[in-house]
Amino acid sequence: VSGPEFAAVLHEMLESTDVAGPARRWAAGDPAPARAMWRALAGLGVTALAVPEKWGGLGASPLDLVAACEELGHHAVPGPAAGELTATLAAPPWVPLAACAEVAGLVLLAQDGVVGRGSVEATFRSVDETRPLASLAAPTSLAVGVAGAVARALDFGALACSAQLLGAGRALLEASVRHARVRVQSGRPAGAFQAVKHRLADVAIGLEFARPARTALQVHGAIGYTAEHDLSRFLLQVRALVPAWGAQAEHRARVLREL
Amino acid sequence: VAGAWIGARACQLHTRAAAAALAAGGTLGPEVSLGKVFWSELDVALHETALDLLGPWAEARDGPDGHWLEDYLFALAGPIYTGTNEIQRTLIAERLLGLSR
Repeated sequence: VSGPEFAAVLHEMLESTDVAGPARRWAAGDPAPARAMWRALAGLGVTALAVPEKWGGLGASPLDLVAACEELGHHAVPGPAAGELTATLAAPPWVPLAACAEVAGLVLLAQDGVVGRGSVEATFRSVDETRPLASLAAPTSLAVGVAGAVARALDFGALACSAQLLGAGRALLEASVRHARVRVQSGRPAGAFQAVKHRLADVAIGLEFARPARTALQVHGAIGYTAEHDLSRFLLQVRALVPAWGAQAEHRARVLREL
Repeated sequence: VAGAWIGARACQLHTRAAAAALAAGGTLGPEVSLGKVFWSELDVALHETALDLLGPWAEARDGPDGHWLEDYLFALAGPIYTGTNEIQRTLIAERLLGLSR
């Protein structure tokens, strides 16, 4: 199965799944429905994609992983990829906080080429309530001299996170276009006004070149600002994921070093 | 950061000028739309700069500098309330610049 085909299957499954319900239950403190949703996704093979075949995974290419993660972002699926065992990771300085440590069976801290079991030191609330954060301390060592593997894991994390953001951007544009078609203002659909058209066109251009945009809220207006509207789930997840897996400044500095 | 400081200073001067005009017995006209658009967009940009500086800590609501995130979420409403900036721009074009409706 190719990446795009797998993504299409994933999209169909998520389209007929209530994603918003489990996300809201989790934000209210109950992660059980989100876990059940993740078990279904794991059954489809999502969590096996990046695992080599010799360890029972699908051994998929990074391209397949990107296609799948974009679809997860497209539906704002909350939380970490979780099969039988959920693992989370902090790797200072790029990733100083581990997400979802409270629902993870394995909490890892990677620091100075050493990977170990981390213990939760302090917890913080993310702007995305389905991403509870934790700083980790005093790990028991599981592997040493693995700086290369940690760097590779961070690269994959950043890649998967970018794909999720791209999918979320696509969902925000789709929702905004739908809203602009039905919302009538001064006797015309909001989308008939040139100012609205141009902003949405800019988002379409931005998405094509994978640049984040903050237009969906403005096009929705006040209704998009309410916690009840489904838009907030996407907006807050985007806000949380943008600085996750290395802040933009770090990634820009890295690109510059390679130049 | 320098851009945010310059913008905030411009905002301050613009508001003082409007207050001085009012105090001198004048009235407020469509030019107040200029301030609304400028200030609300500056407010968002300024908070985005702060979140950029915070790096990975930017998403933590109750982190050491969590107030930037809370204030950013509030700033997001600025371009929407008291007349969206789209409405304000139309007012500026029609009433201030005299373009046709």
